[in-house]
Amino acid sequence: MMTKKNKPGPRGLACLAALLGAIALPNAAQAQQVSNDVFQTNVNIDVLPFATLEFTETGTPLLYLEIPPASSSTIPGSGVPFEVSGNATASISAAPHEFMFIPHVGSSGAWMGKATQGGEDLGYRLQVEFPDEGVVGSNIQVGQLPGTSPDGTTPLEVDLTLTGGMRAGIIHLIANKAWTLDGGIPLPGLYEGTIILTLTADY
Amino acid sequence: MRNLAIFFFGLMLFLPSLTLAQSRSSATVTVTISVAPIANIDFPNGTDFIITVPRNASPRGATIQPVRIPFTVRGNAIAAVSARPDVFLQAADGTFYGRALGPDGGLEALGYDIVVQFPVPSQNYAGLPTRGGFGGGRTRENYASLPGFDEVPTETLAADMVQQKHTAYGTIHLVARHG
Repeated sequence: MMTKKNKPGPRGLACLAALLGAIALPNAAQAQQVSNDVFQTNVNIDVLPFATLEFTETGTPLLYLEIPPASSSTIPGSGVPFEVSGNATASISAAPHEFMFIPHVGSSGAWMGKATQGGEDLGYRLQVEFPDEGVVGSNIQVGQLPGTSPDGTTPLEVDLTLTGGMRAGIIHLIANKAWTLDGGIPLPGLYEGTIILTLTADY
Repeated sequence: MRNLAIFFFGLMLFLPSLTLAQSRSSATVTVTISVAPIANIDFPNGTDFIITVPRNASPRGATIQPVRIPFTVRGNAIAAVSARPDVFLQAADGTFYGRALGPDGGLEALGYDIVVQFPVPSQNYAGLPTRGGFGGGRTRENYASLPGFDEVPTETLAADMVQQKHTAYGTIHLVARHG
């Protein structure tokens, strides 16, 4: 008894032809002569969101304060300014590389950044302003350390497309001679720490 | 063949996207806090004083009680303290003392010596080093009085505030004598 084999229908043949056309590699022996025909192909270009940060002052970015006076701050004019450029919404946050808990600050203590000299630690706070100048639809924004946990500032988001792809910001340092573990006056010398700025871009 | 076609089309639909939805970068800023040597002095009772002269005050009679001015020093280094009157007078024997004005607004004046003790054991320390007389500078490590030979302050008394755990107390005694 003969078995009738299934033969591919017209649709199947068309699909197969399309697949064969997509994977066939042209070579000189198989070149076809084409004239007066228009060929169209689709090209997809993915533009990724990006943002870059640049410090506007020359040299290594440095936040510097002197004690005394008892309480010092770089606000309003001696912080580290920066510019963010990009094509999307940029988000920036800042966090000390190391934290310390000062128990006698406020009613229940506070987490701060830690600057160190030898075995001595001194706490500091920071403030990020991004953008530091407001425009219509994009006001000044300020971020500070929460103090209740060893976390950085809340991310500040700015739509860079509103202002030609660039906005400026500034980061400030606040210090106080009482921000030691025991509340005593810190020993003389240079206390050093590091702040990490994190920048993300997203649509 | 149909199944093969369906398989290839399905495979194309499930190829993973290589588009990144977010970019991320970081930068660092250095923090430097420069702490200088610090010494602060505080007078809990102020610096104004009144020397009370008893009616029967005399070299062999009632004495004039010294006035005590406590102070507190806080710091992170070696703190040095000295004291001088704002106005001097020169006694008949040529010794220079501080000048306290009388109730008549200056017609009468009373000379007084300054004795500084620093550091002292407690905030309200009332001890006063006594010797045959006052003046002439210093005879102990933590005690100094007016030199008396010119309008100059007492010698400097120093204390290491770190060893004192950042707080040290002192007392200024104003000592007057009749005559």
